[in-house]
Amino acid sequence: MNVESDNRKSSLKLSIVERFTFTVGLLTMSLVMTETPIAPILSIVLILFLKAERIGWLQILRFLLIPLVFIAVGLISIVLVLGVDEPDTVFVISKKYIPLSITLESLRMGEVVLWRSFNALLSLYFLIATTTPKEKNLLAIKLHLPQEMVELGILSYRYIQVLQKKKEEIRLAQQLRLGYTSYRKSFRSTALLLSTVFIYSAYAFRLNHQALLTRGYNGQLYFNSENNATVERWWLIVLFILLGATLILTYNYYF
Amino acid sequence: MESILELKNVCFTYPRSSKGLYNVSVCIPEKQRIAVLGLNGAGKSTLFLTLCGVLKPKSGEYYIDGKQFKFTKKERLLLGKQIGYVFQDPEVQLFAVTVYDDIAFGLQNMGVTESEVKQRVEKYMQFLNITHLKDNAPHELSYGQKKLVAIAGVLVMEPKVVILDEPFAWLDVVQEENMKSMLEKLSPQGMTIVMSTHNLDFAKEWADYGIVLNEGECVEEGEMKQLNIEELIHANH
Repeated sequence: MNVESDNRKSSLKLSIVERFTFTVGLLTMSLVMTETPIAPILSIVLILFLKAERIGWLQILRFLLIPLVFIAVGLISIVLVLGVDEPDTVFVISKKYIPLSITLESLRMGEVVLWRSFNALLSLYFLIATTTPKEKNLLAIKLHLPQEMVELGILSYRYIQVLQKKKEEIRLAQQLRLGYTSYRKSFRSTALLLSTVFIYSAYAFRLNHQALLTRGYNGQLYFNSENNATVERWWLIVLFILLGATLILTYNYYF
Repeated sequence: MESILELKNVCFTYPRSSKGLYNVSVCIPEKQRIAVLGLNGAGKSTLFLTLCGVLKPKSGEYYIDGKQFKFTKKERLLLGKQIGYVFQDPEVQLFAVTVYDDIAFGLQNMGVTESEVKQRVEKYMQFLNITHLKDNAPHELSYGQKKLVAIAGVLVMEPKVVILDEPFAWLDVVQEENMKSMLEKLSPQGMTIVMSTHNLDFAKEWADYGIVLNEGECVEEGEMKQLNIEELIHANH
């Protein structure tokens, strides 16, 4: 996927500051509102927003797949309880060597963590999937982040592309020399691949720095920060903040 | 002539691009020197990646030694024993910490014993005159040296077919001469050598067999002496 393409422009015609405020609001709500039925409703709302931005189901699933694996592994450690004597035990896994059980409280905790993580991921993906690299830089400037951080962001973003391409090329070279014919060989090849990409990043930095110097680099990067596509509607941003704050503050009153 | 590799009516297109291969049928004769010619974007690298099993054609058939290659994961993973591919840019092929480790990579994956790995790596380092680079880091080498290390990494596996994607690209005059003499030395080893190049004079002199591609189609193939390459390339431009 070419992440540098401008295909990720917001279909809802929201400016980057509006989307950022919206995402921060959703993220905060995701982390605060964990009880059913609010958390699943929030998930549905988030998915509807993603669909309104014309993001395909496959793309959403692909994004969620890797973090959800980590969440699932984490959930196991939350749901399992050491000991079998808790009054709210619902299922005993083993009694002999390591006493393990599942309690009502651990299940509830697991559910809370699952909804929190799922909604937080979806709200972040909403921002990622609708933000172009240019808008990312613009947001950093509008938020008055230090110049060094903005430049770091620009270069990091560029390097992700470079290293991704390098990774794909080396992986192909390894594959053609039988580097992935078994699990053992795959582990070795992957380790080599990671170390090479790491070494290459230092090498590429040196080359890139030289290229910058030859073109009159004076310690500051200049880039076009114009954004003619959308203009901030401050009333909408204030509305997002007020709506989010009201929901969060009155949350305990309703539930 | 008996063909070792054969593509029949192969079609391949890249996503969101008109580039690719269109109904390509070519034969790679065994133990011959084959030049694949064509302008940039003619489909030479795509043809090579298809022959290496990396790109799976949308339609058509591929035969290796007369047996149909089905592009299954297992078949594709093991194809490296039979076909070696040297990339146009050696930067993308070298990844180990030292030259020795990089050359030995493929052999170690083939399950060859450590003593034989050592013996074969040294043999090919001598063959390509790069023994003095043994402990150097690949990224420290000159471009020509990197290219030789990349070739050594493929030759050491002793595949039946070696594919070289534009081996003369970005080489200086001296490095180009070294590469030509290396290619001359390679032929008596009994390998089938497939090479793409823009150097038509060298191709005519060196190759036994020629394949001319244009915009993803094979416009001509046959004995090199019988092909009028310049005319074919300019006529299709």
